[in-house]
Amino acid sequence: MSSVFNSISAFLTHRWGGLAVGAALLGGGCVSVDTIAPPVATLSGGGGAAVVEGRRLYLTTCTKCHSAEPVLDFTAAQWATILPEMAEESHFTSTQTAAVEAYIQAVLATASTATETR
Amino acid sequence: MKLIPLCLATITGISLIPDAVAHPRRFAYSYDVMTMPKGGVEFEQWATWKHSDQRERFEFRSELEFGLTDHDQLSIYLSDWRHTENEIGPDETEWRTAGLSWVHNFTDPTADPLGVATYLETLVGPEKFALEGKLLLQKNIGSWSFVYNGVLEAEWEGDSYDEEVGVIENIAGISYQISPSFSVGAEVLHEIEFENWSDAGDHMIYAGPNIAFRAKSVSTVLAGLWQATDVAGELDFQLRVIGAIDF
Repeated sequence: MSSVFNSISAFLTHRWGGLAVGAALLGGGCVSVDTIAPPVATLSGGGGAAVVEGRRLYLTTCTKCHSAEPVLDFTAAQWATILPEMAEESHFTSTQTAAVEAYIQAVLATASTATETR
Repeated sequence: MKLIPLCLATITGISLIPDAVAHPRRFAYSYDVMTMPKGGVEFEQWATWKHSDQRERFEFRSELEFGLTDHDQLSIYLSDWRHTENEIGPDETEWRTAGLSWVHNFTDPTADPLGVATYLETLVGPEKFALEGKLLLQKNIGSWSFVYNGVLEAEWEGDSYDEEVGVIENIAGISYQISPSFSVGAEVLHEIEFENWSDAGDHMIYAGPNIAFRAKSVSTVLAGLWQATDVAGELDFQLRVIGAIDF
């Protein structure tokens, strides 16, 4: 067992190992679901069935491959590039892609309105 | 030990395929709750190296996974075989089993308070028949993922399947996503065997780090577990690599 602890100790004290662990701990990465994907009820103009379905797909399908990223971490222009790629990887139908797009646009529009109001 | 370079070459080859996983693993010993999307098909190649004082064992599994619905996944274990290099006695290469597993997920680990799924498996071979059930629990919080598997397995081994063994396992894992392509974490495995469902063996605990990589449709996960208990005659160390390609 001592060799195991020596290995872990060596990893933690190594520059890159220490940085990785430090980044993980400092970055936290603990973001609430509502921050990642704001609930439909909080979106300006509310949302129809497509927007509700879009949020569900965003939270449950995207996470099959990677952690859910906050919608507002990306601009509309970035989403225009990201969404088609992710839709393909997720085997989305055109209806599902449209639903996710509707949800993302609703979140971006709500954030934009909130910024203008301020 | 001759097989190590071959295994590494195979795994490296799989990892280098440019575009080929809709459900990449972040754990090598733990199962997560999420299933493949409906219509998804994935091929996985497993390689496990088990080291003990008495032998070096290399186990291989080839698996096809199908997303039946967004909540159901069927896996076909095409072939489980192993090569054993014994300290005393001749080396052995054996084909062991083929089988099926089915995962049904009830709740989502991100959207719901707790992700819950069940896993059922059956393996059949000339000297082994096994049934296994798992309760899978998972919670994703931001970039972190936490999993727990409770496992109950019944095995019948030998020429006439007369050696009965029950196995209970508790497996837990933690993983942190550094980037969408790269995660690191750790896994702990607790195992106890019951020969003929009566005599409890020693409690075995293994623990160690894992690392996962994905690029578009290709993914690889690697984990090494060291024995944290001190049970003689059991594995000192095991290393598992799983490479996957999504179609």
